[in-house]
Amino acid sequence: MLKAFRCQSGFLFRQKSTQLVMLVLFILVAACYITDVFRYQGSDVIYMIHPMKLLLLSYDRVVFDATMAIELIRLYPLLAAAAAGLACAKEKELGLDTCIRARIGGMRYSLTKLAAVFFVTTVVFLIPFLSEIVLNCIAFPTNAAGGNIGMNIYDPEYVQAVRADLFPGLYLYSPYLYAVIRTILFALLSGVTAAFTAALSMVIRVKYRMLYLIPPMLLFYASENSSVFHRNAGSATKWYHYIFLFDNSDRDMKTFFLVLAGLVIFSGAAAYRCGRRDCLS
Amino acid sequence: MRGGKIGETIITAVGGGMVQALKYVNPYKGELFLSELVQQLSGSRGDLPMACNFLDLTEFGIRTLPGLIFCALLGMELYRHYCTASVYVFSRCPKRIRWYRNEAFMILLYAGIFQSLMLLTVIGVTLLRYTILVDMAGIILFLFHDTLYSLCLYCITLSVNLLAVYFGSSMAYEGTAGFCLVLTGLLALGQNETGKNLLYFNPAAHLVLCWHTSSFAMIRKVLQNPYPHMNLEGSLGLFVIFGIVITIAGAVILNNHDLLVSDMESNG
Repeated sequence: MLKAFRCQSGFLFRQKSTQLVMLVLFILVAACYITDVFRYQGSDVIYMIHPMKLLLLSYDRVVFDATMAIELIRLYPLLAAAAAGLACAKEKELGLDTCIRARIGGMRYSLTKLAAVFFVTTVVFLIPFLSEIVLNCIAFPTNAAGGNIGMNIYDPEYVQAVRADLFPGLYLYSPYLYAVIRTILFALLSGVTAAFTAALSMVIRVKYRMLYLIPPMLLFYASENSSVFHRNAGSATKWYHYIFLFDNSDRDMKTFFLVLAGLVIFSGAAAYRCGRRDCLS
Repeated sequence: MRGGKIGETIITAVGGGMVQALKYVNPYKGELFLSELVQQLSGSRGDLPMACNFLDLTEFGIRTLPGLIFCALLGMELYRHYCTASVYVFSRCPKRIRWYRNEAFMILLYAGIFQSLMLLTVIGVTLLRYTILVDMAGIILFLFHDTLYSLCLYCITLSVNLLAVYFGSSMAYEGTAGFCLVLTGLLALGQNETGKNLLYFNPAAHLVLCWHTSSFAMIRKVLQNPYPHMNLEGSLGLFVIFGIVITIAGAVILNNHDLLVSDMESNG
């Protein structure tokens, strides 16, 4: 099982689409980093913003420069699904899945494929954003304490606002550790999206691969528009409020985790069903 | 393409229209002019024009998503003849350019149906909830909106089809949709003075009706127009030119493309 997983992951890492998605993410991260370097060159440390609040994933950024954040938000559904999510569909078109199934067994193939898609997408989304954390720590003063809304990060009022964020204790303990953990969670969410796309391609067969990109896009579209159905609930429903760092919008975490659990269960069930099905049917 | 995707097109248009009507059309006093309604569909919020800030631009991006789904649905209608049965198709239809002209026209027709249906759904749902005051400027703006967005959809969908001939459907769609999304995101450059000048070169900016002015006096009155150099007739002309250029490029590509080329879809 482990050998098959390693083999599938290696194959996915070498795919053009995976490398292209990683390149796009690196370009976004680099554009964000270079803009900040030029913006803050020669600034006094007391006017500087905390390095973690300059990250591309930081919600505080959108106050003064929303360009890269908007690019990420718009491209994310496409990138998350396209990185490795279409690999299974491609193998089916080539008939490659039949060969691999014959060698390692149907169940082992589908489970390792799903795991590999999840793992590869997670890594693809993790490396650029972790690199950005390291780069920001090198380029900007780590003792800068300013926040973009004009408050010191240790200001009691700000701390109160931060309590609405995910893992407030961790944030107050160390913003750096908080950024790393939230980045890992973001990458895991990307992995789940890709696994969902791959699982769909295991159970539903369409002639053109690009049609598999529609369901994840619809999923994110539904999240962005779900406020229509509970307008007075008061909680943020847009998906990016759940992945952006330092975002203290009121969120409905229970629904978010339920949707996430639903996606994971669907993906697992689809892989199991695909594993049991005759590949020639 | 002979009616194959009409069901999916209608469902996407009606679904997208309903969501847009419920989410974006919420007049404070319970009634609104048609001109105001049409402008809200392309970014403005009530009396306020769309700003280049995070909130407005993400909302604008969300509004364009049904269009991208339409492109995915229609993105292989022309290409599918090339990747699976090109020899069969063209042995029975030797005049390839004429065939291409008909197919391109069908894509344009579908784009028009999709956009008109979406707008009519928005108006229908809004009528059930609020009062719409029909004004002449609103009717002209409606026609401008419909034509601009239909032409834009046509250009994107035809581009997906043509790129798919070379790169396969998924790569073509990812590339084209990604490019459109990047252009939408680049509207944020309008946040500063230097970036505002760049907006004129961004096709996505020409889809925001409230940023325009017009030669029609009655339309000028209802448009908020923060960018005086953009006008509706010019933007319409721009998309007509885009459409013509892409259609001619497509004719050249398909006329010269080898029928026996390997199947791009499976790289076989």
